[in-house]
Formats: sequence, structure tokens, C-alpha cells
Amino acid sequence: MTVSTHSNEMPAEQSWQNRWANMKVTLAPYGFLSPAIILFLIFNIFPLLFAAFMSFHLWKPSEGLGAMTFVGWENYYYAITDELIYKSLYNTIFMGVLSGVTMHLIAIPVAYILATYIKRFRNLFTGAFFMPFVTSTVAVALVFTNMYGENFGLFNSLLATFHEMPVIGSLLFFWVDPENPIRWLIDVAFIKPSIAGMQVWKFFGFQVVIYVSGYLTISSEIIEAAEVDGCTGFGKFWHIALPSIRPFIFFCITLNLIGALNMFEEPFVMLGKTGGTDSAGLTISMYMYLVGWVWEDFGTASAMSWFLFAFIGVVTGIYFLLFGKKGLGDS
Amino acid sequence: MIKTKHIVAAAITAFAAQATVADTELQLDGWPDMDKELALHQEEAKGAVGVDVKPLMNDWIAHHDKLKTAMATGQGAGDIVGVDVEFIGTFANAGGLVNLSKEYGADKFENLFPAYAWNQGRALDGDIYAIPYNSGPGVMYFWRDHVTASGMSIDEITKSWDSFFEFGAKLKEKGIPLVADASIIAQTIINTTVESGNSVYFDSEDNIIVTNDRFVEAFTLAKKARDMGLDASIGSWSGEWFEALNEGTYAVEFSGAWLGGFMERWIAPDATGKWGVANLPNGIYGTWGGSFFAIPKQSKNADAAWKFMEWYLMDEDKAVARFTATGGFPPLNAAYKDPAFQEPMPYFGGQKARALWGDIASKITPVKPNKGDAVARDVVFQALGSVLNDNQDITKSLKDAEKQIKRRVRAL
Amino acid sequence: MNSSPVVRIWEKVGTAALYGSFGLASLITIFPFLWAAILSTRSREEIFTPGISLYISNHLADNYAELMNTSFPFWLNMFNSVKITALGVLFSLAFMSMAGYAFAVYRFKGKNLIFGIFLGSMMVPPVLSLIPFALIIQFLGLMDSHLAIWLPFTAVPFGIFLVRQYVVTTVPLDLMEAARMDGAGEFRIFWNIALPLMRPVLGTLAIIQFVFFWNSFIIPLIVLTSAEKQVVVQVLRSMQGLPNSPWGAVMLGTTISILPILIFYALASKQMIASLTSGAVKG
Repeated sequence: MTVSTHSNEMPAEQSWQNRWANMKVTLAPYGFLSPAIILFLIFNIFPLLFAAFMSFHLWKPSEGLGAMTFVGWENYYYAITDELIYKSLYNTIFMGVLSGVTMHLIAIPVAYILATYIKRFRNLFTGAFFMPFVTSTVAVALVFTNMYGENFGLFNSLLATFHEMPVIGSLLFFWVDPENPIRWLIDVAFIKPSIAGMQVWKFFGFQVVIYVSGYLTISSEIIEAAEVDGCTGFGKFWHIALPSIRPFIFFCITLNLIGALNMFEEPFVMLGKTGGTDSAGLTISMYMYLVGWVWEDFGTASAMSWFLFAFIGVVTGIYFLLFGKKGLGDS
Repeated sequence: MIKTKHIVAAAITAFAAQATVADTELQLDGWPDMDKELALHQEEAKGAVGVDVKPLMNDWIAHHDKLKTAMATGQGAGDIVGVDVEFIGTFANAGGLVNLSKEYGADKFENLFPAYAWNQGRALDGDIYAIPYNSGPGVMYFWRDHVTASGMSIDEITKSWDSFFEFGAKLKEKGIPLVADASIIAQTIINTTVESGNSVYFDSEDNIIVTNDRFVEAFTLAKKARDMGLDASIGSWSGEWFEALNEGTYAVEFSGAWLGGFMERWIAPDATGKWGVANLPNGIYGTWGGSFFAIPKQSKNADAAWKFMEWYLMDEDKAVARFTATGGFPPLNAAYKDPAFQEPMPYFGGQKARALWGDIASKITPVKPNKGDAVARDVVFQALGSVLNDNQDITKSLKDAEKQIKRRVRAL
Repeated sequence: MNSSPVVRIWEKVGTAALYGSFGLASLITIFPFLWAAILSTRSREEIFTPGISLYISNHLADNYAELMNTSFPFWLNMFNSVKITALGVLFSLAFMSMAGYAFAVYRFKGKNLIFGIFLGSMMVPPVLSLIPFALIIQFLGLMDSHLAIWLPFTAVPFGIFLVRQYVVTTVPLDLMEAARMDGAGEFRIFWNIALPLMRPVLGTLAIIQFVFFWNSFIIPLIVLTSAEKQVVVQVLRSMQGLPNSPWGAVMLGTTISILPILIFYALASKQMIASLTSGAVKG
């Protein structure tokens, strides 16, 4: 490490050079951020302002821009007193938590196993798990609608087959009733788990990919040190690997949240635009689409999105307060 | 007798004097199979009308979302746009489409089309904003074997709802479902027995009427069918539904005339002779689906677009050509007189099904569209789902539906 | 390390079971694609016959012909997708790596505020932003251009967030201090020191952005108005106009359109893993 010796000899110029060097360091982050900030200002700020503006007006999109009428807080009143908005929020959170927790319980260990134990086909397996993420939403929805079919769907057929099997049938599958197959997408009780199941299938591979790259960054020295100290398989996992990927867990949970909030296409294709029986599968995004686009009450939909934003802001604030410091890895 | 063709030819000659030498390029926004149908006459159009029409297709939902966005922002729509009957109320009244009555005197073509179809393109101000492209007279398809086995004749079955349910009960004894899903019964009654002067969900003063007798009857009968176990809970367009059409798993399907064409060509081609067509029960007449062509105000080639629409949509020969190619049912009175319509259809056991469809088309009473139709329909059918699948009380869910619709409609 | 034969056999059984179950899981996840590929060989009538079977039929050529016969120029649209995705991924890597790096490594005024705003904006569903987005594009005169499809999304907060998390865990600040003492400029530090260390996350980011751009549908739907400019997703969606869809051709188109993603994934993940195991990070 070389130490500059100029500072003693040429004080005046050096202070200018120092200041310039310091300025470069202070300005550098802004430079690095400039493309992102510019794009954000153009493409993100305006829609936010537009939604804010729109939330105070009554507007039907197909009538064109000139057709707005000012209504003050009326839209917010309608948004807040709407039963369906709370129902869709509940649905969204329920399905998000259900799929999120399941996904993490599967992805974290699976990624660990892939990272440490499976050398040979690691890329192949990771690639296979990643495939659902890549599929177009419509294809996913169509496949799952078929699998969840009441009379001829794959799941019910499998259940019926297992039910028939000699030993296992009576032990584990006695509850299956071939006369009344499960109506996965119609029975209110089953709609949310069915959708959550599809979400898990679609996204767990993505998490595996992230976690695998996280696990692989753990330096081998730390692992060796732990082994020398007598750490066994599970201990290694629990005490070394898990804490090291904490920022990635934080990231993935955040993404789960966002993914759940934006979940729209698949339930839309699988259940129809009103979210199935009793709107049990209506997510908040679907509802906003329904109100703003199908029913053309764009003002109320905008008010709903701001209401949602406030709600999320509070929740995220709490979330970051509790886990943020550790999750962000701030020094 | 002055045929449609002559009127159109005269109009075109009048325009021909102003025709330019180079082909005007027009863009047609729509959904399949509008492109396949266009292909039949695309070349001809260049010579006859001086236009080169290029299709831009999207799936049904995406197309209408795109159209809404184009209407909202003032840019991005084609010169001619397809509009489905479900959205026609919205778009016709929104002010983004060219007023065809005022600009081009479209009213003089009224008699070419069945009354119900023509009126669907009419806005609340009384002017026409869209021309019918295809339509779907409502029919009942029945599996012949099941009807024969029941001992009732098809006329007996369709005499009234009571006799229809009697048929259902007989089928139930044999373990055969009557319909694919009970909601179809409600849908049929709601759409086809509208009181005169009313729209489907609103009256002439925009009051919501979903708690009236028609809706109560519709919901009650559907629930009755479900309680009697007469339906198979099969959703339309699902894999199971296609199978059922192939095998006659259930006895009766209500749908538009276009379903017959699809069944014949690709859904159930092996079921030749197994299905028959009949009128809807209880002497009702109604429509299933249908689409329209309109011209967005933002188009820069509105005149050329109208010339093309006149030439393309009002000629029964072209309409029949489309019908034969893809099954899109023509909404032209003259088309029903075409020999193709008098042919017996082997697929339906030699029945003159097309003639029946044409006859039904002429008997359907027009229903005024209302701006709130799309919203009301979604809410009402959601309520129906709760009644059928979740055992909710009928009066209560209709009242809830009314409340919901009231909220939504304030924006319109 | 001495292990008895029993332990060794258990290890082998365990490993076999492990590979076996992973193999099964993989089959479950890739089943829809195999299914789509199989369906590409069948005619529409065959697809609608009852029952599930895995046989491969002989209508591949017919389906291909039908795919070519739509009002869309399929291969041109494929090319459009490739072009948009390539540009999108390239610029995404550039912009997002810089931004994530900046958040992770520097302290500067407004850092938390800006990051908070970025993060916050992710939380609102974009369902309604379509119309204002269209307005901006129209205002900028970018309707019917490919630029409008990829450029706005090359610096989304999600990617910046991911890069930041990664850089925080792997790039040691002392390395950078050392380079600074040596007189290296900030960008040099970024380019020569940090970027090579960031390769795994860049690989991951590339894959994610690739999928995003390749599958993006709503934006092209609204922005593109001529058939030549359309992307392959739109072609496939438009063919699915129920009820008359040519399913065999649709499945074939779907299978073809998945291939670039698979190829890219194979390449990118090799990059990721290779650089990780080269032992770049020293305690």
C-alpha cells in the first residue's frame, strides 16, 4: 500500500487535488445512479402523479382524455367503503403468505443441497426448476386449469388411483371420495390453496437460483474452519450457510410480497375476471383491473391504488424497521 | 326485387368517381378469425374499392384492452376495429367512434340486417356507430339418443320450462345430466325474456332492474336444476366440455349457431349425426355473442374505411363465403335466402339446421344496449355463482348485486 | 476418514435417493414443456380427443405450415423479440450494476431516501400505469418503436436491489480503498475490481431480465401498431383466440419461443458458476 508523500511538499496544489479527488468520490455515486434516476423520473414518476390526479376525478378511459370530471374525495370514499377491496386484499395476503412460506421452506434447503451435495447435474436441476418461471402466464394457467379439473383433471385422477391402491389407499387416502371429486377451482375452501400451489410451482425455482448463487459465495475458508471445529451437516447449514444468505432471504421475501401483490394473469385465466366463486380468488391487482379497465371506473381504481400504497407503506415501514438493518447488511 | 348487392353497387359507383389510383392502406384491428375471413376477399378489395386492408390480430381480451387504451389516449387504434357485443354498449356511447349515421347515412342500410343485430350498434342518441359483422342466434343442441330414450319428442321438451325439467328428471333417473352447468339456464332466461322497452339489466330510465321477476325466475330455475342434480358442473371451453360434446355426456347445450360449425369441424367431428338443433324452450328467442365493425375517430382514412365496410359487410355472398369458411354466422337477411342455408346438414342428422338458425335470427326481439351492461353482467353472474355453488339466498344475492351495480354505474 | 461399509452403502443409497427425488421434481417442473412439445406434433382433432396419452403424432409439418400462414410474419417477429431482449439485457446489466453498486458501496446524501423511493415504487401494482405510460410514449413520439419496449425497463428497482444485496455481501471495501490510494478513478475501480466480482449476480440478473423482456406482452400490445413490429409473444397470444385456436400450431410456436430462453440460461448459468468456483473471494 503506497502512501502519497506529496502532501508535505506542495500544500496549495495538493489541497486542490485532494478536493477534486474527494469530489470525484462524492459525485461518483450520483454518476452511477444517473441512468436509473433519469429513467425513473420519466417512466415512474409521471404514472404516479397521473394516478394521484386521476384519483380525484371520475373518468371512463374509452371516452378519451377530455372526459374527466372532478369529484374530490368521493373516489376514496367509495374505495374505502368497498367490501371487495378488503376481500381481495385478504385473498392476496393469504395466498401470498401461503405460497411464500411454502416456497421458502422448500427453496432454502433445496438450494443448499444443490450447492453443497449435488455436483454433477447441478445446472441441469437448477435449470429444470427454473423453467416454470420462464413459462408464459397463459400457458401456466391453462395447464393448471386442466390439472385441477373436477372430473378429468390430473390431481383428482391421481387421488382416485391412490385411493384404489391396496394398502396405502386405506391408510393415507381413505378420505378420497371418487363420487364427489374435489372441486379445486370451484369450492371456496379450495380456491386459494389451488392458486397458491400454482404460485409455488412457478416461483420456487427462481428462489432456488438466487439462493444457490448466494450459498456459493460463502468462502470455503469459513466452511473449512467450521468443519475443523466439528460442525456437522445440519449444523453447517443452520449456523453458517443460513446467516450468510440473509440478505438474499430478505430480497426474496420482498419479492414474494411484490409478486403476490401483482399476481394477476394466472388467477384471471384460471378463475375468470371476477375471481371465481364468491370472489375467493380475486387478488388486489385483479380487482383494480376489474374496476379500472373492465368497469371503467378509473378514478376509483386510482384511489384504490393509492390506498393500497399507503397500506403497503405502513407494512413495509414496519418490516424494514424490524428486519431492515440486518437484511440490508448495512454496516 | 332489389338485392342488397344492387344497393351496394350503386353506392360504390357513386364513390368510384372519387377513388384514387393508388391503394389506400387500411389497418383492421381484431381477433381471430377476422384475419382468415379477410384473406378471402383481401385481393378483391384492392381492385373493387381501392384499399389494401392489413389485419392486426390479438386475442379477444387483449384486443379490447388495447382499444380502450387507444380510446383513452387518442392514439394507436386501427382504421377499422372489431368490437364484441359485450363491449358494444360501452364503446358506442363513449364518443371515440365515428357516427356512421351522420357521416355516411348508415341508416339506409337498416333493413339489410335483422332488427336485433342492427340495434345493438345503436347508441343512446339513436345513431349507429357500428355495423354487425357476425351474430349468434341462440339455439338448443340436443343429443339425439338421450331424447329418443326419454320417450318425449323434442317439441314436447321445448314446450315450456316445466316440460324441460320433466325431461331432465327422466334423464336423472338414468344418471345423465341435462346440461353442462346450471348457470346456462339462468343466462338464457335473463338474456332472452327482456321486458319490452328495457335493456337487459336496466330500464329505459337507467334504473337497475336485477331484482325483478325475470331475474328471480332465472336464478330460481337454475338453482332448481342444480338442486335436482341436473347439471354436470362442466365449464365451457374446458377439456371436459370438449369431451362431453364428443360423447354426449350431457343432453342439452344452449349456445349460438356458431357452435354447430365448430362442433362439426374440430370439437366433435366424429359425433356426426348424434346432435340435433332445436328452438330454445318456452318459445324464447335470443342471441349468443356477435361482433361489429366500427371506425375510430382517430383514423385518418375514415372515408376509405367506410367504403370498405360497405363493400365487405353488406354483401350476402361474401357473408356466406365467410360462414362456409369459418362458421361465423352472417347477420344479413339476404344471406338466409342463399341456397347454402337450405341444405340439410349431415352433421345434424340431415336436419336443415341453417334454415332454422336463419328463422330464429328473424324472430329475435331487439334489446337496447346500455352503458352499464358489461358491469351488470359481471356482477349478476358472480351472484349466480354464489347462489349455485355457495348456497346463498336468491333474494339476498340479487339485492347485493343491485347495490354493487349502483356503485359501479355512477362512473358511467 | 474411516467409514464402515454400512455407512458407505447408506451414503450411496442416500445420494441415489437424492438424485432420484431431484430428478422426479425436475420432471414435474418441466412437464408442461414436454407436454407442449408433444402437442406440437398433433393435429387439433387429436388434441381434443379424450384421455391423456404421450404419443407423438405426425402433424408437425402441418402445424408449422399453419404457423407460417397467419397474418403475422413469425420469424420476423422472433427476430424482433431477440433484438429487443438483447438490447434490453445489455443495457439492464449496465445500468443496474452501476446503480446497485452505488447503493451498496457509497455513502452519499439522499441515499436512503432515493433507495426508499425506488423500493416503494415497486410496491404498487402496475395495472393502472398502462395509460400514463402510453401517454408518455406518445408524447416522446416513440409509438410503434422497439425502443419504447426495452429502454424504460433497464433500470427497474428490483434489479438494482438485487445487485445491491449481492455487492454488500461480496465486494470488500478495503479492496476498493486500496485501489483508491493507488490513484485509481472511481469508474476504474468499478470496472476492474467490482464488476468481475459481480459476475454471478449479473448472470442471474441477465437471466431474469431476459425472461422479462422475452415474455413481455402488455407493453408491446399497447405500443406496437404494425404487424412487422410485433413480438413473438403477441403472435402466440393472438392465435389463441378462443374458440377457434389452432392448438397444434400454438404449441409449436410456444415450444420454439422457449428455446432461446433455455439456450441463454445454459450460457448464463455457466458463467455464473464458473466465476464462483474460481475462488475470487478471499477472507
